[in-house]
Amino acid sequence: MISPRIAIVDYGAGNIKSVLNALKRIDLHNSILTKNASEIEAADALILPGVGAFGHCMKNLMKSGLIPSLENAILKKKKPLLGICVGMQLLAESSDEDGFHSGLGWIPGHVKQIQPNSKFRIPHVGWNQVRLVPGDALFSKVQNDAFFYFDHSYSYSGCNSYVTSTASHGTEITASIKLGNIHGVQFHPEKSDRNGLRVFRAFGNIVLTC
Amino acid sequence: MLSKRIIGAVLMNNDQVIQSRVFGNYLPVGKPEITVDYFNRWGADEILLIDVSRTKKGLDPNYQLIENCSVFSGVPLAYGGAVSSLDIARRVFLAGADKIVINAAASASLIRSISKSFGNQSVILSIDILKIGDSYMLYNYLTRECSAQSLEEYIGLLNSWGIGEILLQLVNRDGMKNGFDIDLINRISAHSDVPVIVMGGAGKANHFSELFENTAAEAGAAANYLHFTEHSIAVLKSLLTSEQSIRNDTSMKYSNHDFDDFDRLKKLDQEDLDSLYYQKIVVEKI
Repeated sequence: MISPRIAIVDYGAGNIKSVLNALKRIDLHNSILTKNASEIEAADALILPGVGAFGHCMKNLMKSGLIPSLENAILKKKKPLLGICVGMQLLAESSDEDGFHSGLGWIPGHVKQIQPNSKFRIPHVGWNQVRLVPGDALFSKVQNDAFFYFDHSYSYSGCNSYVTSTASHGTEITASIKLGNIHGVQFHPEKSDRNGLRVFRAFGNIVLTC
Repeated sequence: MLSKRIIGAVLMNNDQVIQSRVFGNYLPVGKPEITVDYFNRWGADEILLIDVSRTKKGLDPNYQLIENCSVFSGVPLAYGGAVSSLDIARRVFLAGADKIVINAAASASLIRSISKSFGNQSVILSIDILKIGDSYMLYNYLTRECSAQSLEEYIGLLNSWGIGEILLQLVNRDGMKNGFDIDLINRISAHSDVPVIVMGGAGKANHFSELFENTAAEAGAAANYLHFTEHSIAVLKSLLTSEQSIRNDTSMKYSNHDFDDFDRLKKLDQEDLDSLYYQKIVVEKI
């Protein structure tokens, strides 16, 4: 079985090594970290990580000069993409974290602050149950209401047709979104123990069936 | 629903895991990498790696050690100990930590600069409290002195700095196994905008049940209590009687087992032991 070439985009936004470690743990050994436009265009699939403030990450992504290659690979060639945490949020049109910032706009919708609540404190941090909307192959190996690790204060809000799973934290939190070949997860699969590995395995399978 | 977290704390002195009592009386436990490995396998929701000696010695963090430990953790790993600048924080994240814990070096400018680059959620602010008589005082572990500043005022300040979580430790109960200080926790929790992790005093599973029933703390952490029993975290989670949501994802299920008054596993009946012969357990390969 050929191991797909999965490229994790390194644009200076967080702990990408643990994403690589997770992929290697399930024998997706052909995975790489990359800052290189041609490696991005040559990859079978891409992962866009992201940790920190939306504006800061977006600025770094723009500075990296990699957006044109990403657009080519993902929007034109329809290679599978998995956005993680802020990497998922960047897929949206905008975020109001620390002022208004535009995102990539590849999935309609906006990122907004999770409403503060004395009983449900922000950041939304810890293990929460993810309720699945049936039909997303990314969760083919995961039970409904399985626990995943979240750590964020802002959340995607948009048309429900793009939302493939949710979590509850005083209010409904979007846990994952999808539009065609583009997937995004708000939780950290690389930090969600075995359930996280199941998501990466399912992503690997999606790539193989492309 | 968001689960209450059980966090395994790995306290280190001279790159060795130690047990401590009242922030002193350090005795060796073993190697950090092995402890992190076992905590991870036994179902820790997060792991705290805290070096209690480096700031005192004027040393930077041991980045290689952090990296060695991070390889064993499939759950978030927080590192604390001598994180005193943005540059050090950056190197700690690069070594594989997901969050940093800041204690002695806490200041508005440091926290804000780290939050700006890595996000609020990346910073856990560690607060040590010493109880003297009936009063709770902010405690500085380096100088061993208390501050006159009011707790409420300090928490208010932290709320404005952009931290992710608070790690609250009551010095008096460290290693004493006499339970968490519910009054103190409620007092701090009432003023904190961010989630609160509590450490200091764990001695029985019941202490965690009480913590989650009687306070709003989002997580309970322990070091000593988790170091000396096989499957300690899995056993603890099985024994929690609280109605709160607890994540229990390992194959180590103890809900059908009996425990004595010291939370120690009782031997199974001979009949049950006999039925375990030739039982094939199929392990899922992801």
